[in-house]
Amino acid sequence: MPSRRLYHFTDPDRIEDIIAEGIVYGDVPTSPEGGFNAVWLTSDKNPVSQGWTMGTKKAKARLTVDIPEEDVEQSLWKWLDLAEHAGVEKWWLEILNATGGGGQRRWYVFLGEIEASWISRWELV
Amino acid sequence: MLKKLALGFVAQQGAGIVARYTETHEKYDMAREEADRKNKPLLVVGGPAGSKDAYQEHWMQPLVRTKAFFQIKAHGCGDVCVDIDPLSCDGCNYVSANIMDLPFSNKEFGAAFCSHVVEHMPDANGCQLAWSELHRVADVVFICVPPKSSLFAWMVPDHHLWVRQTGEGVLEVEERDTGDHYLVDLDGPPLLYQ
Repeated sequence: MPSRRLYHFTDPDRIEDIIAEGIVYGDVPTSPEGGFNAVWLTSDKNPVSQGWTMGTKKAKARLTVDIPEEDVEQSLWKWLDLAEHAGVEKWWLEILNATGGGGQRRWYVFLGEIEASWISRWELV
Repeated sequence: MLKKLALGFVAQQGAGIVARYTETHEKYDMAREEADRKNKPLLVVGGPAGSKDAYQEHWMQPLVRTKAFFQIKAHGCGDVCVDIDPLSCDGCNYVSANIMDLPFSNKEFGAAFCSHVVEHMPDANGCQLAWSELHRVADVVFICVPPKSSLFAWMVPDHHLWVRQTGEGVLEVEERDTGDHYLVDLDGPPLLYQ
């Protein structure tokens, strides 16, 4: 079945849960006070480019996620498109993007849960 | 028999080189015409000159030095020539930039001509980013890539991808290190297919 390939970086301590349950949690802060739960993904598989981790071990494990095409159409958003759609204010968007290390054009948000079966590979990086 | 096969292979490779040379010039001319028709500038991504400093300590060094010495240009400069190496755009209106993050506004160019660049992207996702970036800045995109049938293309160490244009805005991409096949379009991440 055709699928779109993206990557999710996480703390190695979370791998066991993710392999069992999929990727369920993620914080999308659309304003300083508000936001919603969704899963962050990126098309950049280079761990060094994940500036949002700020030196923590949150990008020490990389999961390869193959999202079925039908779920892509329903739930996968480019971050910048979603931010515009969700009405994220420009000043806040600039802060988020800068905090994330400047790779925002490669970020995606999945509005739903990433099923464990979609994870084709995980590795420590 | 072996001699005939070898001769056939050499002839096939030679014919391929001639075909690619012709294709490059035809596509450049089409890009030039398209940009002129729209009364907008032509963007060239991937300088025509080649760099004498490329592929240091690699067997390709003498080839790239020869090309640089004789000032052989693979195609025209366009109105703006983008490369990460200024020597590749020698004699052109040079802008230093990465194809995955072009410093131009949306549809600033009437056409973009991108020759022998996207196959150097590290993976299909990098190729998708470059592909969408070219379409973001230009009305029409023309690309030239080495075919998988080219022996020379196999020997270039940083050819990470085999790329083939299969339709308007669609590339078929094979990652050399993983063997994974993708369709790269403008809609999202690369579409993996078996």
